[in-house]
Amino acid sequence: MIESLAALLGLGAQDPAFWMPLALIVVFFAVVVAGVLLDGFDIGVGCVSLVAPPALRPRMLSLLGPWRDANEFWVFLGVGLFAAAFPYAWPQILGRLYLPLSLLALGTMLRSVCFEWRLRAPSEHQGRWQFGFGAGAVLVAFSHGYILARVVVAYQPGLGNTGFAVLMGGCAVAAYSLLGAAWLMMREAGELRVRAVSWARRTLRWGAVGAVGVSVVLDFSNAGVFLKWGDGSHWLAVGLVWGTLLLCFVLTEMTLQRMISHSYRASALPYALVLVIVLTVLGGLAYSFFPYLVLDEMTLWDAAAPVATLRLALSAVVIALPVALIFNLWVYWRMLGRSRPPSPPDFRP
Amino acid sequence: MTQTAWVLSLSQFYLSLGFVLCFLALELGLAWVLFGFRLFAGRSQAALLAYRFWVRVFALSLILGFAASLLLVLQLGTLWPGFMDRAGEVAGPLVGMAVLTAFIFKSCFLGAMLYGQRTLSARAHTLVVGMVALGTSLTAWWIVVLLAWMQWPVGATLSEGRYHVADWLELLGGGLAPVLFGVLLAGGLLLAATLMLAVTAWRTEIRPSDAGDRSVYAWGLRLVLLALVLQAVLAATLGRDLLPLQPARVASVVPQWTSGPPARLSLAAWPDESRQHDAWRLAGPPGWAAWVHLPAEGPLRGLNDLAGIRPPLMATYVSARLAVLLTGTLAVLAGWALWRGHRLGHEPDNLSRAGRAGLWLMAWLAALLQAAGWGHLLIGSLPYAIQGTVSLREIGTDASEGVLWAVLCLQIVVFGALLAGFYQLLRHATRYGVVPVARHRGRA
Repeated sequence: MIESLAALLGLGAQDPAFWMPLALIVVFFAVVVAGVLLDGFDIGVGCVSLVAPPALRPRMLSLLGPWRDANEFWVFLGVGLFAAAFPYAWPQILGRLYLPLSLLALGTMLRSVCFEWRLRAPSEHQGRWQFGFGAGAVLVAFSHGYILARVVVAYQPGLGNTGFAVLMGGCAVAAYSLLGAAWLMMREAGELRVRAVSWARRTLRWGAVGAVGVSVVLDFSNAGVFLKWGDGSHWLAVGLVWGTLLLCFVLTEMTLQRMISHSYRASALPYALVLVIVLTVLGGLAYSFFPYLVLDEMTLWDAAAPVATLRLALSAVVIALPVALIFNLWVYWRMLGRSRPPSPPDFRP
Repeated sequence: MTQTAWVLSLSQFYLSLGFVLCFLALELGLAWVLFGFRLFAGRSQAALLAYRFWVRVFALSLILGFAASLLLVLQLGTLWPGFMDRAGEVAGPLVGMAVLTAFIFKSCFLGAMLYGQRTLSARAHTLVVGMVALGTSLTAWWIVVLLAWMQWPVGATLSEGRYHVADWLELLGGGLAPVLFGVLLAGGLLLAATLMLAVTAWRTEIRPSDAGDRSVYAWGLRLVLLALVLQAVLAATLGRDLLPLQPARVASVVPQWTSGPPARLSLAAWPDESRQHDAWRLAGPPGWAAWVHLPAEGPLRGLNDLAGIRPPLMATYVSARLAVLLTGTLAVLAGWALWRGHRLGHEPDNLSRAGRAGLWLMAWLAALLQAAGWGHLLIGSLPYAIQGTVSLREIGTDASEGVLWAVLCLQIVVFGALLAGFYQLLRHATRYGVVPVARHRGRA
């Protein structure tokens, strides 16, 4: 497949102008996936903290504390990499996403600042900062869904497309809330878990609407994508994707029901299932789009910077990777399972 | 794009840029001041006390500047979509490097600086604080390089509507970048020093001063004067470099109404744009044209020749005067404060009511000075995004005015709330001391 693609572009597979953009888009996709997986529960907990009883909110937010520093950076890394490696895609993509990207940036800003400041504020004002964090999370989640919907319909204007984008924005809020609630029921017992189960049950179906909606609209709004999945040779993959989605949604629903009526065993199962759903949808989207950044309009090679700049970008990635691995990724190793309280510091006279 | 859409886009962009620059400067200034405190903390208890309080203020300003920078970077793409198409080869790597530098230094050192003072040895912690100051400077450098490059595009050639990098070294170190960085750093030191004095004045009004307050008061007074002189010299150098390159800015600053030999600079005037002359003017020094390296006989392009490619006259004219006036006022105030401080034996408890008010005033004037100076730099380069070649109008967004209004209002609400929060937290910390916040990796 690589050879045929390279031949199609009139480049050799060894040519840097061919493989460097490819490598960088893989890194970019990895950053996006990492952002959704590792920052996703953070956004979700923020969303559901708005409907949580005030007494539970401080605990919910402090559960996020250990990963805040690392989580803040995913969106920055994605934007920086996209600027350095694919500057010529900015007019076609960012220029058409003015509204959702503004919401995304303002939401991210609220989230970062409110989280850091809520503990430093006088106690009677801490509720405001907690609210700001939740509002920021909702803005971010909504804008993710909105962006996804716009990208999927190739930025076509029209009332229907805007309506679809708003619907997907709402579904993204639901999906992130589901992710956050599923994470909470794995982390904590007691009242928080009971509430998390009920939040998850309410958001699950809207999450499903989002996952199915985005896939179906992408399929039917673009002939190339439809042909890619529906030409008959991929029936196994198509079956596997839809089977996985269906199975995961049904199993999540059953697990949640079981948690209400019987027991709290396997409390990590919903979180794992939701992650599988998110990964499947993201993987399917990436496969559908490849090699386009804007469907039928701009491939990743059209958008890529010249080879000298790409070389700079790749070396920057090589520098950033160890830092990310050592200082940022290892903090995630305790994000699964029950929460452990910190040990008190050693007394030093 | 329509005029309204253009103004709305510009307001949004300048609002974010101003916000980021203000807190970046403050962060930069505080970072180096903190490094100074930390260096002396081993020997003097006063420096350690000062460090402990001001590191919290540093954390507050750092998070604001950092969080707002995402909006700024995204607006580069959403408000000015054509910009990356023209200058992507220059701006893309610069944005990427700024993100990468911030990422590396924040991951490696910032956590250790804020949460690791008890676990690290004194020498290691000093090193970490130094590295944070260095990292902040480096991050600011990339941003300043981009801003300077937009004023004077060196090191890149324009072909077929796109800029291509010819020489990265010239682009990064040549042009206006070094001087502009100096202006930012001096401005940051000025902001940090005046803020330190203002907060100390307020702190000692409600409780007796400690050794930390006295040391901040004594050193802050000297730092204000030093930073002010440094910034004035650097800004003058910047002006001398910049003016010969931008005839439209010269014409608006003088103001030069008609083309010909350089008109005499006015110290103050009321430029009447409809009649193309000054309603009244106070003439300035005669030798100014030679001082900024303009040819004495001209010809110099006048405002009549520059229709459509010149900045708004009043804003450019007034902002330059305002910056000079504020620098002078601040210098007088700083000199007076230094003398009073010397008379009081550098004991902030002895400050009078007027003295405290004067220190507060200095902090606000310093912030206003930065706004006027940077405002002049940015507004004076209109209507160009990249001086002389790419105008903002041709790269602007086609978003509808309604959406632009909505986002601008939302942005004002968010910025306003966060600024109010910053002020409130600063007052709270001043009143009750700092709140220690612990962070445990992997546990909650």
